[in-house]
Amino acid sequence: MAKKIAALALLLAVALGVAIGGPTQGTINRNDNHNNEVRVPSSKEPGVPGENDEFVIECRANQRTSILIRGDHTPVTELEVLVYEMARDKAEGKLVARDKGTGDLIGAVWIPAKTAQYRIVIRNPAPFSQENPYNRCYVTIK
Amino acid sequence: MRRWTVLSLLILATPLALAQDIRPWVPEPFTIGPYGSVQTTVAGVPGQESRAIAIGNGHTALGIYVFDHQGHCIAFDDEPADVVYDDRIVSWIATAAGPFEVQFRNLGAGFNRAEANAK
Repeated sequence: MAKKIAALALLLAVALGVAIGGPTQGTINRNDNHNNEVRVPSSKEPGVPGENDEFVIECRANQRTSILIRGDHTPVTELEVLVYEMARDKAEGKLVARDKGTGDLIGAVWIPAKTAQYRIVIRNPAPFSQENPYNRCYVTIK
Repeated sequence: MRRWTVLSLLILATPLALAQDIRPWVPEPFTIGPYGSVQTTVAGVPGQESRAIAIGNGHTALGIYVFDHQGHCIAFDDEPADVVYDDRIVSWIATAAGPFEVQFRNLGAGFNRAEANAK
């Protein structure tokens, strides 16, 4: 009987972990349906990448959180993602995860040390042009 | 003299050879058949983060599994109950030298065209 209760408790704990992992608001999936994609502006100055920092999410302490980003491939560019733990005064705070170097399919995983707001910055170094004003990104945060 | 020259060249070439090993694996999009898998290896540098990503087309669930050189599964991402069940990422920090085998598995009965990379 005790074993059954322990097994049930374990199952519940696993299920709860799945349910509450990632952002407090739940999984975020932004894609190209209904213009719901994330637009990361192209670089307007050499050496200064365009940035999108629209994602400020609350994450729970010790819950694995991840972000996956896929660019529009037109053209493939070296996207970069940076994740900052925001300070109480809303300053950018500490860099907790980053990724680049695999074209426009990138991602990062972090385990928040505390429940806090996290700012996600996506950078696009491709030069601005009328044909390529931004990169349409597919983004999943969970 | 020639022996020293050859030895010097070998020493100089070693980092280049190692650097080739740690280039990311960035394939063209590929299709994984029902319950099939695609695998690659990642060299892994002790103390440094490695990671693998897959984004599928939404038709079936995907999973990523990472095995060390002894065959132990050291990282995975495969929760089929996820709202987005074929966007996967695993990240691990090698405690010892690799190689690490990364498997991208199709967990469903249909085809899934996925984009993936690993480094």
